[in-house]
Amino acid sequence: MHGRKQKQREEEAREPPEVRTKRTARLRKLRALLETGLACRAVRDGSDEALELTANLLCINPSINTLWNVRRDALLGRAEAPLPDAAPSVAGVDAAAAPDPDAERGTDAAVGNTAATAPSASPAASDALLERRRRLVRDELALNQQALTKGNVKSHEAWSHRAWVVEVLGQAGALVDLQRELELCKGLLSSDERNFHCYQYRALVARLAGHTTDDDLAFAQQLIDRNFSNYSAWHLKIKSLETKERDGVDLGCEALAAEFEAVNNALFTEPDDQSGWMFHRWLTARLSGGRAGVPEHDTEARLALLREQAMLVAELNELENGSSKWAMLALVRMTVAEGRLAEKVEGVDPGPKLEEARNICTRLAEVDPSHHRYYEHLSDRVAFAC
Amino acid sequence: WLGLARTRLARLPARSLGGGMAGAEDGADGTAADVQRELHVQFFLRFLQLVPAPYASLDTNRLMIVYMACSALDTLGALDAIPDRQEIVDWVYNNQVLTGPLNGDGAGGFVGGGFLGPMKSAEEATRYHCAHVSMTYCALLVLSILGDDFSRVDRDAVMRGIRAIQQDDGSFQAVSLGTESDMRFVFSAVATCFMLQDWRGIDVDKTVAFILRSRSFDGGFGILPDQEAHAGAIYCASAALGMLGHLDKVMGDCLVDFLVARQVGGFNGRINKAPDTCYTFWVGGSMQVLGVHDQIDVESARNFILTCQSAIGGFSKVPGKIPEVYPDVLHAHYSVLGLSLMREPGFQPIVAALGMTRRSFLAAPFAQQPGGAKVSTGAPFELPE
Repeated sequence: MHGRKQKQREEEAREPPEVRTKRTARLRKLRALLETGLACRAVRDGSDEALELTANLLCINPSINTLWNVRRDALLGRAEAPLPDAAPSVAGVDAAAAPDPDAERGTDAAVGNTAATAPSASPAASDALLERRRRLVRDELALNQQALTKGNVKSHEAWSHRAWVVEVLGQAGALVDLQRELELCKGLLSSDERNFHCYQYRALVARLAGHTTDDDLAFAQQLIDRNFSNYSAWHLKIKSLETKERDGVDLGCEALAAEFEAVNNALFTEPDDQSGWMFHRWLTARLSGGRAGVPEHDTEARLALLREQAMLVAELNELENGSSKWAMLALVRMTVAEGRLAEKVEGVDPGPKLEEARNICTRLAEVDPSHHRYYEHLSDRVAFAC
Repeated sequence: WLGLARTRLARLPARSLGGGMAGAEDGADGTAADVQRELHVQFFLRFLQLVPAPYASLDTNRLMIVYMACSALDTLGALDAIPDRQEIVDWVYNNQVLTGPLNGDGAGGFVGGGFLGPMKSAEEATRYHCAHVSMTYCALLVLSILGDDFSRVDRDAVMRGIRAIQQDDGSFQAVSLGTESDMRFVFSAVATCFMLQDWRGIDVDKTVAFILRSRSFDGGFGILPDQEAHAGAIYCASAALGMLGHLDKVMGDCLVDFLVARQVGGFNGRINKAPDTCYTFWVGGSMQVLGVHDQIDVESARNFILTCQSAIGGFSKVPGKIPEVYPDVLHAHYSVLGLSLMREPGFQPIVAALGMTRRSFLAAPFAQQPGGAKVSTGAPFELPE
């Protein structure tokens, strides 16, 4: 619903009256079809009329899920219908019943074709079936793309239909040009790098195309390098790193140090950017064990790296006249983390570090007074060594 | 009577807005100092009569528009301004789907409105329609707000409908015929069960498992597992867990950090996105569910909402004036509920988990039992402070 009404209003204003009349007439036609009860049968037959009507309507409003359902029924019907017998040596074959390679949607094999044969075991027949199905997939993806780009590139229903075409009609991607789909996603993301529908669909396609977690990481990094503020890309990066952890590949101390260096470069340039700080927080948690508990190995190196990074963040805050709230929030966490890690490595009492963290919370409430209650609660959490 | 207008919403001349316009004049920076309650009452009342052409795409979601109008009027303390509540109640019941051979056993619940035209009776709704779970949710809310006792709700059919839409992974699609499934419909399904105080239709464990799988590392929830944290999904997840009685399973602290960080003056829904009035509710409401809404910076949030207040009533998604930016019923509704969350004087307190006033909640059928409304575990639902 967001932002659509203004655009739709502008488009309706530009629409010539004859287009509006035609559209209204089509809607009435579809309504009549559905109301007479022949709709169900017509839909499963995959009539050209139902497909044409729904295509036009969906390019205007891609969110009417009923119409996508009509198309799904129709497409499956067409994909699974018996092939007309097209062998040229068979006498009496009606040439018009043969599959027309130029037709948008193939022929309606259920209607009056006495030469129809059930899908046979012959290689030629199954090739023809696959070819027909491949065409249906290609054409439907094209129509869906129009609905997205002309109608609403954030329509849940349209994206979910695209996923259906790839998975169900396209037989888990086997009949789909997956590279083309990846290119499409790239293009759409360059117009709106935060379109989460696109990321979700791309993840499906990437999986079917055999992409690894490292491929996902590389893709995320490309997006981050293009725009550091793109949190959707950071989300993909962090999620991929966590997937690798679950597969047993942890970021060791050296790798963590490299990641810190990269993110620090950006944070020093843009200290208000929440994306970078979220990754910084994740790195800190990994360094000090975070929710998984204090790490078992490299603990001295980790403590040293943590202290070094805390100093850098303090330096950043000083450059911002001691008033960078994100830097200070990071310092609260790092100070607590340092306390816990130092307790393990050096046997030191974490008390003073927790006190230090609480003091930062107090200073935060001065720097950002409108959120003072949040910082008071944060201070309480520190007392319990969050 | 709730027809679709094919003409634009006319620009109302200043005199037709009645007296009291002085307070609605723009200040030097374009911000009115006060919330123009009376203008908003008129704005929402208009939506109960006529829906302007740009809303044509919401034809099948008209119940949602009715919910938003009634809920906002209730929150503004102006329910009495509705001329005929019974007419609306009857209209809602006309949208109830009766199950039969043409639509199947899982089709029960309510539709938002037929895209084939106005439905004159429940029999008409039967023939081809399948209920949409979010419209069922809106229907039950409207009935509660308007004081109906649910006596005409076919509870068995609704429960069969809920069972028909739950997926193996615990999520819910919206319609038994098939739609995408995600956190939005999880919330609608859980809220429906809560309002009917009937959990027969859902597998609670699977539902909770799905919600928890949709947590992201930053403490938030996405609309699906692996999806980016989004305040709309967070609201749906937290409110659902609250009604299921499993709120203890959220990563409380991390989630609070994420929600508080959404406030950049106004609220945004995701990291590094622009603020938008409706997130006042999705974020603020989630914070109420978690019991931390005292951590909202009321002044900044309120100032942002006021920059989105429209001279014809209602609020827009982002700051601006007509004709660059128009108010719409969704953003207006969530701005009103957002203001209530921040205890705006004269506004009725709300129960954010359901999206209705406390008054309506306590008077609703689901609260009329010893101990009040219960969560799925049988424990009492705790009302917010």
